[in-house]
Amino acid sequence: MTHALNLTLPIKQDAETQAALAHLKEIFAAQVQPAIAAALKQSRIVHFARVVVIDDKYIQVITEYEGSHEEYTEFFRRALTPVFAAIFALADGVPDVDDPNAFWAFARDHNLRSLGETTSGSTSFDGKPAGWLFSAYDGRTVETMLEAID
Amino acid sequence: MADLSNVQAIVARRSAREFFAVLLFRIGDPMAARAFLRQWTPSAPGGMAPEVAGEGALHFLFGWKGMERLLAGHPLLDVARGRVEFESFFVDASHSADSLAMARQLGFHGDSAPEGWWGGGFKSGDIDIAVYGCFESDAHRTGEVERLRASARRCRLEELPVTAFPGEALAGYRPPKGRLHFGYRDGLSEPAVDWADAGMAGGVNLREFIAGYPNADYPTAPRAPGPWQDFAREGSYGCLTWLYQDVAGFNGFLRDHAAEAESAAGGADPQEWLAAKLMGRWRDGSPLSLHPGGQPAETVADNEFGYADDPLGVKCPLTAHIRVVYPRDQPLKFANRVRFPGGSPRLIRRGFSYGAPLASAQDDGQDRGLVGLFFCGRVNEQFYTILRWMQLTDFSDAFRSIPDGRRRQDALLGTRPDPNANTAMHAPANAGPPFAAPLTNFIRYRGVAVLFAPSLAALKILSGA
Ligand code: HEM
Repeated sequence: MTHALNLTLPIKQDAETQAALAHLKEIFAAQVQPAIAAALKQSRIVHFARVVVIDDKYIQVITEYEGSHEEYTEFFRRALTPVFAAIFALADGVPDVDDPNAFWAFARDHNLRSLGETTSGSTSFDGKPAGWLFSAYDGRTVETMLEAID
Repeated sequence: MADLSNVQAIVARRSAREFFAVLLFRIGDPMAARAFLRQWTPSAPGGMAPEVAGEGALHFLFGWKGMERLLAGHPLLDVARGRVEFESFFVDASHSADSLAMARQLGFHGDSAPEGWWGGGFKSGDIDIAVYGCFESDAHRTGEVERLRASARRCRLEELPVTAFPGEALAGYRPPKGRLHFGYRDGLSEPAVDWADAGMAGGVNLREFIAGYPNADYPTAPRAPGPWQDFAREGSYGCLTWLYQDVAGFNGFLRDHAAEAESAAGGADPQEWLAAKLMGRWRDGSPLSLHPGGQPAETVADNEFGYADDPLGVKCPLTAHIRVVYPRDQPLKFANRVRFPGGSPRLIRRGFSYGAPLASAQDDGQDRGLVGLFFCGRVNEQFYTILRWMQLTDFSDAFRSIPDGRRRQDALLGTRPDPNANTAMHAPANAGPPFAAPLTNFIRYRGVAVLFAPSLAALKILSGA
């Protein structure tokens, strides 16, 4: 079952944070993106991932992935600790990314539900039906898709 | 390093006793509850200490709400802070075992749905204090339980009665010769904990089971140094699990499929072969991985085996209970290798059987099963993860080798029916096609509560001593 992660953080507006954001944008293609890609490629549980900044006021980590939130949040934390550290540092109430408990609570509290209603049985962090996520291949897993084209 | 003598004995070693009971309480008045704990906890055994003849051996576990009430107003332990620092999956009711967020993925649906847990009289979250007692005889148990109850009443602890049991409390016995209700021998495999933290060969890191010494590989909560981490040190999460076993259903499955299994069993008794393929051990305990052809004349309770030479599950099916709950040297998939740098998650298993053995071929309507207490250092990464793997076997790439492999279940313990899973048995044979048969629901969860077994030092703090 594919889930959407719409992790959305308000970015602090002080000069130091804005400078850190500018730096993140600058190094993203050369340094951040390959690190994320390497981990996600091997995982075979993530369909798509991207990072979006809105007017320098919000940053979003958006992915479509498989498995329960409770099962794989810890994988994302361990595989991408420095990336999350850099992104979370832009927001208030930053958790210690070395602390799975704090990381889990932060991710859970900052995931926005998509509009609409799931048609695949996918659930939000609270166990209620997730928002709508269109899938052209009816929620087939990354593994299934990769095996079909391998 | 870790002070083993400070760890409650039920975590450190098995009880040698034959009779058991678990009393569950809700705190009426925290001050009076502390008096109860002051009366009983000083004799709680720690570390490897053997049980003392004539004395009850009592072990104490707490729900978060119970700890919160007992510690309210403590000068160093701010409960609002503790709520954040202890593991969410222990503290947060929205992610408790019976919650909407967790129940379905852990297999608690259908006959195992939380709505009917504990007989319907209370909720897992009502358990503030659980007393796990180990006794020498039935009479010893009756006497000690009586004394505990009298003291609890005086201290305004409200007992949460489990009315399905004659004594209104979870109670049972060490199964004779270690044989559980389905006839399997238990108590063979046990993590060898490296308590000295000295890199013991083949040992399991102590952080897998106790809090207070977190590191990057085993980031137990509370993660940050401070009063809450000090309080939690040498404590362990104890996951109390009441399971009904449908013995007539299980025996019926073996009987109904024996004829079809005859050729796959290749000379072995087909019913025994089926039972072994569900478990990964012959019912006498001998591992299939070492004795694939048949049950050896003498039980070989050997635990030194792996699955690396059996990637397709020809000897031991990939879905056999012991291969799902502890895949040993079978590689996990990438995401799980990242999560578990120290190897597959482990549990320390304690517990007892309850209910009389089934004497007839038909079900006699009597209640029977087991009460398990699974100890771990991280609830979501160990207990819950293993429960999830039992419901959906997508945890290892090995499952690519069997049809629909990532949607299988623990053959013995999967909750069925389940539209998300392929619930058929799949046991590859030496020659010929794999053996397949529809699996039924052999067990039912009747109550699960995630509790914390504090160290002896922390018990003193909780009791206000
Ligand atoms: C009625 C239910 C159950 C029955 C009849 C049962 C039976 C058994 C038996 C016979 C063994 C093999 C003996 C041994 O290795 O010592 C075993 C091992 C084990 N079981 Fe279960 N079990 C049940 C429920 C559970 C549950 C709910 C869990 C997990 C939450 C679990 C986790 C384990 C683990 C971790 C092992 C050790 C595997 C190994 O080290 O190779 N069991 N069980």
